[in-house]
Amino acid sequence: MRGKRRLAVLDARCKGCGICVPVCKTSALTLEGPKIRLDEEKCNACGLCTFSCPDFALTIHGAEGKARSERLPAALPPRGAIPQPAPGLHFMQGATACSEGALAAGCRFYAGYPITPSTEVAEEMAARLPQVGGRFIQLEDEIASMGAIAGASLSGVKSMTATSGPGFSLMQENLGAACMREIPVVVVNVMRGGPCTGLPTRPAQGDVMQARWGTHGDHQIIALVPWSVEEMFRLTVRAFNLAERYRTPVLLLPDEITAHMRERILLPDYATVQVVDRLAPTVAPEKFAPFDAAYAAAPLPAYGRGYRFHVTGLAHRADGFPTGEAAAAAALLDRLERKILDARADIEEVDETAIADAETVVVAYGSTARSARQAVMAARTRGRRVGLFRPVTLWPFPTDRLIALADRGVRQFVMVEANRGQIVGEVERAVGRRSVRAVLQADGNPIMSRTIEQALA
Amino acid sequence: MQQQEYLREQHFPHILCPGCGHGIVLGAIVRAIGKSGLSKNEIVFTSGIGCASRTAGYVDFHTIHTTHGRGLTFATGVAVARPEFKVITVMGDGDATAIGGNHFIHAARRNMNITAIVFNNNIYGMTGGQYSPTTPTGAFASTALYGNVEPAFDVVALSAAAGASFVARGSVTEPVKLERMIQRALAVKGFAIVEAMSTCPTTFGPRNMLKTVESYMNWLKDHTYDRGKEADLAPEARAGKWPLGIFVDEQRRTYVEAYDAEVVPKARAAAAGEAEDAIGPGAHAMPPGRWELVIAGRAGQGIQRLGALLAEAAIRDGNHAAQIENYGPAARTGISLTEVVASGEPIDFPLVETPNVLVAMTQEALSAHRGRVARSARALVLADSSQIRDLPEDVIGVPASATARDEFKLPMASNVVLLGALAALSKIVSLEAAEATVARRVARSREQNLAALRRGYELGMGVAGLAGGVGGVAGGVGAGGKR
Ligand code: SF4
Repeated sequence: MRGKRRLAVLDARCKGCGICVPVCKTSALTLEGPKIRLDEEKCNACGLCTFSCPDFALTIHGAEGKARSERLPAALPPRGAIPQPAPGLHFMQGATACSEGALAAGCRFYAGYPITPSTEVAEEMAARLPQVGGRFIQLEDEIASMGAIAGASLSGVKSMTATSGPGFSLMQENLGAACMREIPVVVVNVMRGGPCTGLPTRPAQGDVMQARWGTHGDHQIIALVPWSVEEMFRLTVRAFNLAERYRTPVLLLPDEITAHMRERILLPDYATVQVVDRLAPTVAPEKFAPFDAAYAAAPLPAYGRGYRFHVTGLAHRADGFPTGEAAAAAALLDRLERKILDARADIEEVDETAIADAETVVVAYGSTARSARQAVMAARTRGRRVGLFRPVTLWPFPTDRLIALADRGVRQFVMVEANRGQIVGEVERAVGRRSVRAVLQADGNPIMSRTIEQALA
Repeated sequence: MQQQEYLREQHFPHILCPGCGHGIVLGAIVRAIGKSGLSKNEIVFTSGIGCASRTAGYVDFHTIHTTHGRGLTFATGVAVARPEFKVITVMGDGDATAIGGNHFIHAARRNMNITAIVFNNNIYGMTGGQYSPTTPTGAFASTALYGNVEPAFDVVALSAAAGASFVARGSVTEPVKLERMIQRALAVKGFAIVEAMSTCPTTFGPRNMLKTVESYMNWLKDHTYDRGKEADLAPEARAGKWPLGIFVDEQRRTYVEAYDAEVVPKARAAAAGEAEDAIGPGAHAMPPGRWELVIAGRAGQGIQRLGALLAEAAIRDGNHAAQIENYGPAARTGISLTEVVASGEPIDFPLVETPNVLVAMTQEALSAHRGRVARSARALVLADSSQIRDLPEDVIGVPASATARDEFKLPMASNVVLLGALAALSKIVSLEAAEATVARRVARSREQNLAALRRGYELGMGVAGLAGGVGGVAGGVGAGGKR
């Protein structure tokens, strides 16, 4: 039973601003010292002052309230079969394979801004998403695109964007936003020549350090580098799966060649593709903490199932609300780092060719690794004991595997990359500067196998 | 309805300063939501950065405190991916009209289904009182110690011009009217914006002779008027003041409504057609080694198409091929070039380093690329002889464009004639695979194209026969065995 209608002042909330004083028609409120005082004799409980109180300190008790609706909106439809190119052999462009991989992994939202040489991914997604129950939107810039995919993913829909150098620069802000809020998203950066506008139509590998450290502050990131059309599909699926498992943005870093070339791909039946989904909460909404430290990456319920949680880019506690406490902030950064570094065994993928007896190991990634492989095989025919080490997972960098190779007796490492020397520093860090040589080229042209062969001669 | 039911009570008192108008706006929002009958589970509430945006932490919805100016971008993602939600975005004046200005006008133009509330206190409060795009000219701020010289944005006019479905301006001095405006905005399907004139008694007030909360509220009351009573006020009495009321209320189709009505059915119809079939690979023995082909000519001759047909035919043969288009601005200069690498073995580097086959469709292409071709027994230079004045001796000519034009009345099929000739001369692809590829990829005049392909093959065989094996090609074929 509701009691008599009356005004109550919550002293703990009143900040003593006095806005309510002139609002009251019966002068029942007066500011005495730091708090408002209510003269209950004068108050007729009209409630006018409650609308003007900025601090929610004035409330009417005993008011007749409508029963509040607890309705839930429509749930996300379960992932069903989607139309796809027939399973089997295809001749396909890298960008197409990337978007098909995204659809197979369950991506149903894409937001992006046109930029060469990544637009083919957007064009494919614009054509395909409405066929499979998803939606596409072209936004005003890459800042918006990155924000939109983060929002869509938080709401429960797997999301992706694709861009290239300048757009990737614009995405760094909200990429950090996704890292801090632990939002699974996939960002494809088709690398072209830079800095700035650079060489928009030419291949390059100049964004690999930006991928690692582009957004401000300490953070870990996962980045995968495909070298073939087949990997454009497979690694896009993997990027989504890693993003969901570790609640983190995952970057796919093809260069212009890998995204634009067409070659053969054996396309699977999408129903057989292994798809990882974010964990669902096992506790009731009142008990749910979106950043529960009991997990490396906590469950993330889709919106609309009764779990109404808060996310912020401020340092936050397990419940998602901001904190300025040093220990809590440090614990958060620590967990964000550990959830990825402790899972290296799962995340890291490397591809080794002719490595068993190699004295010299070429380190290369992306399309550069294909010319490196050609050079390595040619050197092998001349009796050289050369092998190829290809990090497929570029971040976290597979440092320990390189150390193991050095321990096993590899004397020289030859780093080949289409930039002025970025990953070479990581290799040096792993095996020591003295055993590393670099073949670097950043002129917009792909590194030819003969260039690498000469370096190996 | 009690407004407390929509709040995260455990987090109060909130962080806003004593007397800050933003708390009044937040109260109006939660009461409006309560009266609108929406369930808390149906609301997504996003915000940017600043004092206004901190309110997201205090309401019991799905809340996203985003980055500065980006509340609408996250909201856009939710509104498109999950249109079943009521999406609300709260912003400060800097959030909405400075750093997030672009998102603001485009969300309005697209008519995203979002209720946007701009808490306008004409200042950057959280950072200590710097002037914002809505600071009145002449007002003082920490970065405008000598008075603000910039003109201010009119958020209402901006929103209306950008195409918002609903535009209103209220004030914290009239919280009940403000609440009603927000309630109406919540009922709109589309981009609905309410500008709430608010106060910052910590940074704006003291610098602008509004030292007490009461004097500040009175100043705001004096500087606003009901737009319904506009006619009663002399222009001088309106100058420098904000009219309050509803300015736009014209609902139109939202982005998602338009997308679902027009894009989705067409896309589904396209998907319901024949699915892209897989290539059932044959077992043609490509001459061994790595074939590096350059195909060059003029834009419009179907150069890229020829490269794609060739590479796909090689894959249909059970072999390997990679094709790279030349791309971007270069494609508009009139030159067109594509590279294909083909082999019976998996291909490492997918680009041409030293071509051993050149297909030239113009004199210029021949002159430009002939010198690049490796001097080897395997080398083959094939040209459309109808385009070349003096055919050098070591170049094989096939009158591709004349054949396409005269025999098939299909000038565009010269590339297909060359594909046939190339198949005959090089055996890089089989005629069967080339036929299957053309049949699959060429939709218009399919039969004539197939006939042109076969004619090209005959012409190629003729040349090959005449020459008794062209260059190393015939030998290559003889020596070829699959893997
Ligand atoms: S700084 Fe100004 S806007 Fe911010 S909470 Fe304080 S009074 Fe309100």
